[in-house]
Amino acid sequence: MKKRSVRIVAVIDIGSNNIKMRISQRSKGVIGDLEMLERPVGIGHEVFSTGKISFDCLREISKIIQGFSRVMEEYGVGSVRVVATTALRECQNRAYVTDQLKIQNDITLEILEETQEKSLIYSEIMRQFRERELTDFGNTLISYIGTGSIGIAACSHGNIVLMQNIRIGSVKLHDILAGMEEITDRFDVVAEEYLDTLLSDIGDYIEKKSVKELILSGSEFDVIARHCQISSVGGTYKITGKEIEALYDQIKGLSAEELCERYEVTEAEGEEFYAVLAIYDRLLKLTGAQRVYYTKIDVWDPIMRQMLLPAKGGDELELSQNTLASAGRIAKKYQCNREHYDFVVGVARDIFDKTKKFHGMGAKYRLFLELATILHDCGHFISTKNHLTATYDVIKNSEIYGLTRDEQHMIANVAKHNESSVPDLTDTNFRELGEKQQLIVSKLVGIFRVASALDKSYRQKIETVKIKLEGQKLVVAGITDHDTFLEQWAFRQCAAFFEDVFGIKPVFELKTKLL
Amino acid sequence: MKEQEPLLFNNRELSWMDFNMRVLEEAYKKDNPVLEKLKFLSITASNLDEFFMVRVASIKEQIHSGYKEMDFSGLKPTKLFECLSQKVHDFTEKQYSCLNRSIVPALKKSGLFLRKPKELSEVQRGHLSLYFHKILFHVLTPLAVDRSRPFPVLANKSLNLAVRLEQNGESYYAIVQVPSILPRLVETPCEDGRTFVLLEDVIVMHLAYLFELHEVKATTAFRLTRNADLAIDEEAADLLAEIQKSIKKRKRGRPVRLEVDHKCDGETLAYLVETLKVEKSDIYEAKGPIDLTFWMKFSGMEGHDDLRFPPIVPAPAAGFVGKSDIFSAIQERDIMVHHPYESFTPVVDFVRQAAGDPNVLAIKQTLYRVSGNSPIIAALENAAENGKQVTVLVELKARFDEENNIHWAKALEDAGCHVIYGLTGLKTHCKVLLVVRREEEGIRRYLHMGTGNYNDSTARLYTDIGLFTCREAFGSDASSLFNTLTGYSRPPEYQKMIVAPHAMRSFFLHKIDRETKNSLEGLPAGITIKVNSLLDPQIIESLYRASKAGVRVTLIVRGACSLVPGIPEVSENIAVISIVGQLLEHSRIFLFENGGNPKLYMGSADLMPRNLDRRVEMCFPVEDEKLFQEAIEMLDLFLRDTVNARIQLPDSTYVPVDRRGKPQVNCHTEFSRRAHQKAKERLAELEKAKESL
Repeated sequence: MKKRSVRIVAVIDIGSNNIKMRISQRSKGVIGDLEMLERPVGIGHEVFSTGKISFDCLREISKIIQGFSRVMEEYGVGSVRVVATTALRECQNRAYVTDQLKIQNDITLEILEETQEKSLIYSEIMRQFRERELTDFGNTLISYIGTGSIGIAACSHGNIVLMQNIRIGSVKLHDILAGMEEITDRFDVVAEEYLDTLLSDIGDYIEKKSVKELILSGSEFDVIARHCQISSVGGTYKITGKEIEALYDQIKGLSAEELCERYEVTEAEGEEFYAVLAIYDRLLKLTGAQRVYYTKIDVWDPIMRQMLLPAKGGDELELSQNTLASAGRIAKKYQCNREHYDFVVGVARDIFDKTKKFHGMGAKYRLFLELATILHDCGHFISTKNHLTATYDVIKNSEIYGLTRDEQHMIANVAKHNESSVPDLTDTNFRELGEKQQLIVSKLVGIFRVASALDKSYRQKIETVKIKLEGQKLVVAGITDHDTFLEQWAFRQCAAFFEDVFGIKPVFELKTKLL
Repeated sequence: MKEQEPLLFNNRELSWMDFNMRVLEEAYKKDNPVLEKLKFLSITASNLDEFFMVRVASIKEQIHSGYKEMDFSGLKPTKLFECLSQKVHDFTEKQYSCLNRSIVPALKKSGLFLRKPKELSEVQRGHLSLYFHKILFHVLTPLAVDRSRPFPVLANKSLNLAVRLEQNGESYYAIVQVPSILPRLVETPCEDGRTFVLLEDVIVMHLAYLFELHEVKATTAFRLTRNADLAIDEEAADLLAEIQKSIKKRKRGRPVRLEVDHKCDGETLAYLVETLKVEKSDIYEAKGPIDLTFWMKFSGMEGHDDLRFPPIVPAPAAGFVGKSDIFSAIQERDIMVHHPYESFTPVVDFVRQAAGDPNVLAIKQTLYRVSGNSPIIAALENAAENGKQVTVLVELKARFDEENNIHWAKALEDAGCHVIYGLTGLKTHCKVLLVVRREEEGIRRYLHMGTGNYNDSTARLYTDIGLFTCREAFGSDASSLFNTLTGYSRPPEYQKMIVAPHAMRSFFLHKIDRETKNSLEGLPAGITIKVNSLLDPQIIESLYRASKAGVRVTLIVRGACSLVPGIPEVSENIAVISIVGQLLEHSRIFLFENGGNPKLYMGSADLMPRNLDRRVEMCFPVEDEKLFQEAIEMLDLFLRDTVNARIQLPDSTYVPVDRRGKPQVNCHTEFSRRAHQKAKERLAELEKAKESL
C-alpha cells in the first residue's frame, strides 16, 4: 500500500495564558485537524509583572512541550513550528528561553512580532471572507482584540492600507483602569474616553472613509453570541451594530457581581466580556459600521495553511499587494511624491529583473526594493535637514503589513541611502544588521540609487527607460528632450558603488526625440 | 425529612442487601442446578465480604467519628447500622439455611457428600491422617497467646481456629490459621460418590499433634473482616508506592465483622470479642462452614456438568465473521459486540492486529480490571516492542485490584509502554481503546468503546457491550480524552462523547428534563435506562419530575436502587426491574424518546454520585441505524424476561415477574441463541456471495 503522501504537521503556540498545540493533516487537498491540545500556564502573568520568565515557569513550559512531543510522535508528525506571541515578545530573557527550549526540547522557537502576527491573522480573515464571498474589502475595518493588544487594519479597494497595533487588550484595559472603580462608579465613561484617546489615530483615517463593515476577531465571542442568540455559519457570526450597542448599554452599569450572575460567567470572564464590549462599542461609534462579523481565527490557522498548503502564487501576490498598499498609505501620510516614486519603482524593478543573475535575489527582496523606493522620501515631511535619518526612523517604526521588525530595518537601511552616502560599517544602523542582511541591503542600495538617480530632479524627465545587459555593462537607456545634467551627475555618483557590488558597470545612454 | 412523608429514597446499603438477597434467591431457586446454586451462594458471600470491608466499614467510621447527618433516605448512621445489622444477620441465617436445607441435601442426592469427622469411615480417617502428617502439618503454625506472646495480627478474611488449652490447671489460647494455600475441601476415598471434609475439621481431628503437652478444652473456627477501604494520599509524588503502602495497611484495618461457628463456647467467644475489640452486633454466627466463598471453586470442579447450567458459548461476533482484517471491517461500518453472547476475541485481536501492523503509529487504552494472564497486556507489550507509541492508563485505585494493577503497570512500563495513573482524585473507569493508523488518505483513528472492562475472563460472565468505530468525531474525542488523562491538555468540549465528571451529570439531567418538557408539550416522551446501580439523588429527583409530567420511565437496575417506584403523584409512571441470573448484568444503556427522534447511549457509568462526580466515565451515542435498532431490541428483550427479572414494588421489595399468560423468556439464553443465529446467517450470506462470484 502506498501511504506516505499524507503530510502531518504541528503548530505549537505559546501564548500568554496557555500553550496550545494543533496537529493537522492534508488529505485530498483539505486540511483536517487531528489534535487540539491546550494547557494553561501563566507566562503572561510573570512577564507582565516581572518582565521575565522564571526557570520554574520555563521548566513547566518544557514539560508541557515534552508531552506535546509525545503526542506528535503518536501521529508521526513530519514538521513542527513553535511560535510565541505577546508574552515572549515582551519577555526580557527570551533569548535564554529560546535557548533552553532548543536544548531541553529540541525545538526552534519563533517569536512572532506583533505586525507579523496580526498580518498572518488578517491575511487568514481576508482569505476566508473572500472564499465565502462575504465582502470585497472595499471599505472594511478588521479588528483583532487580544488579551494584551488591539490590532486594527483598514482595508480599501481589497487591500489593507493601514495597520495599527494598540498596546491595550481586553485584559490590560481592565487592569489599567482597575483603580478607577474606586474613584467613580462610571467605569464605562472612563473606559470609553480612554479608548477614544488610543483610537484617535485610526479615527482620523476612518472619518474620511465610510466603513461598510467591521470584522472582529480575537477574544471570545461566545457569551455575546449566546446572549444575542446568534449562531455561527462556518465559524463566523453575523450581528448588527445595534445589537452590540444594546448589549453594551445593558451591561455598562452593572457591578462585577451582577455581570457574573446575569451572564453566567466567572469574574475573569466577566471582566474580559466587559472590556471587549467596550472596545467593540467604541469601534462601532468610530466607524458607524452596521454590518459586523465575528470570526474565530487563531494565529496558527494561517501558519498551518502555510505548512500544509504551501503558498500558491495568489497568496504571495495578495501579501505583496497588501504590503505595498500599506506602504503607499504611509507614503501618502508623509506626503511623498507619488509620481516620483512610481517612476523610480518602475526603473528599480526593471534593473532588479535584468540583473538577477548578478544579484541572485528573489521576489521577497524585489518587494523590499519597491518598499524602500516608495518610502524613501518620508523623512522630508519631518526634516529637510535630517531627512535621511527621519526616513530611516519612520520606516523602522511604522506598522507595515506582513513585515517583521528585521525586515523593516533592512528596508529602512536601503531607503536612507538615496543620496551620496553608501552603506558601510561606520554607519551604526547598517552595523546593526547581520552580515547576510548587510550584503542584501548593499545590493538593493546599488539598484535603488541608480534608479533614483534617473529622477533626481523629481520631474520624470526621462521617458521610456530601457535596461539591458551588454557584456559586463548595464546599459540604462532613456529618451528625453529635457536637460538632464542633474540626473547624469547623480548617475555618475551611483555608478561606482553599483559596479563595486555587482562587478558590472552602469552606463547611461540618452537619446532625444528631436533628432 | 418529616416522618409522615412517604419514603422517596431507598437507602443505598439496605437496597444493596436486597440485591444480594436476589442473588441468594437464585441459590434457592428449584429450577437451578445444584452446583449453580452453590455458585450463587458463594457469590453472595463474596459480595458480603466486600460490602463489609467497604460499606459497613464506612458506616462504622461515621459512627466512630460522631457523624450524625441523615442520608437521603432519612437515616442517620447509627439507625442505618442498626437496620443493616439486623438485615445482614437475617441474611446470614438464610445463607446457611439455604446451604444446609437445600444445597447439601441436593449435593448428597448427586453423590457429593460434605461430611463431618464423625461421619467418616476408618479408611477415610486414615486417609485424612496421612494428608495431615504428610502435607497439612508442615504448613501449620500454631501461635500460643500468653503474657509474653501477644495475640497475633490476623490477616483480613483469614480463617482461623481458636483453641482453648489447659496446662497445669492454667488455661490459655492458641491460634491456628487455616492455610489458604491448601484446598478448603479435602477429598477422601468414597465408594458411593465423592466425599469432602473441611480443611479446618482435618486440623481439629489432629490438634493433639500440635499441642502435645496440653489439653484441648475447646476449639472454634472464626474469621475476621477488616476495614479495607484504602486511604491514599493522591498528591504523593509516587502514587504507585503510596498505594503499595496503603495495601499493607489494609491488612490491619479496624475489625468490622467477626464470624464464628455457632457452636463456639461462651468462654472462647468472650475472649475473642475482648481481644479483637469487636462489638456484639459485629458477631455473626455461622451454622455451617465459615466463609462460603470457597464453594465457588467447588462448583467449578471438573465433571458434573449435569449439575450446571448448559454453558453459554460465545458465538463469533457477527460483525467480524468472514473478516480477517479488523480495520477494514470497522471501516465498512460500526460494529457492536454483545458479550459474552458474542466472543471477546475481536477486542483482543484488535490490539493484537494493531501491535503487528506497520501502519499503526499509536495505541492508547484504559485498563481498570484485567485478567490474570491478560492477552491484551501481552499485545500491548508486543506493540511497544514493535516501536508503537503505547499509552496505557492503569487505574491503580481499582478497588481490590490494586496489587494486580501495580503488577501490570510495572510489566507494561518494562516493555516500553507509557503508563499513566490518571487524574488526581478521580478513578478512571471509562473503557476506551484507541488505535492511530496511518493510511493512504491520512491518519485514521479506530476505536473501541465499551461498557465493561478489558478483561477476557470476566467477559465470559459479565454481559457487556462494545462498539468499534472509526468515525472521525469519536476518534477526535477519544484523543482528547486521552490527552486529558495524560495531563497533556485540559478537557475539551467533546463532540460525541459524554465524559464524567466534566459533563455527564448535566447531560443526563438535561436529557431527562427534556423528556419532561416534551411530555408536557404532548410530544413523544419516554426513558429507558439500564444500569447496575441507581443511587444519585439529583438524577432520581429529575426522574420523579419526569414521571409526574407523565413520562413513562423504565429502569433496569441490577443492583442497588435508591429510587422508589409507584409512589402516588411521585413515581407512578416509573417501573424498576432487576435482572439477576446466570450471567452478571453489567451493560449500561440509556434511551431517550426525544420527541420522536430517539437517542441511545451506552457507556461505563452507573447513575451514582461516584460515577458522575468522582470518576472519569464515558458514554457514547449509538448512531448507526442498524446498531441503534439492535440496541432497542436488546432493551426490549430485557423487558420481556420472565426468568431472571424481578419487579421492584413501592415498598421496595422485589417480586418475580408475573408469568401468567406470558411465554417463558430467559434473556440470557435468548441473547445467546440470537448471537449464534446472527453469526450463522452472516456466514450463510458470505457463502452465498462467494458462490455468486
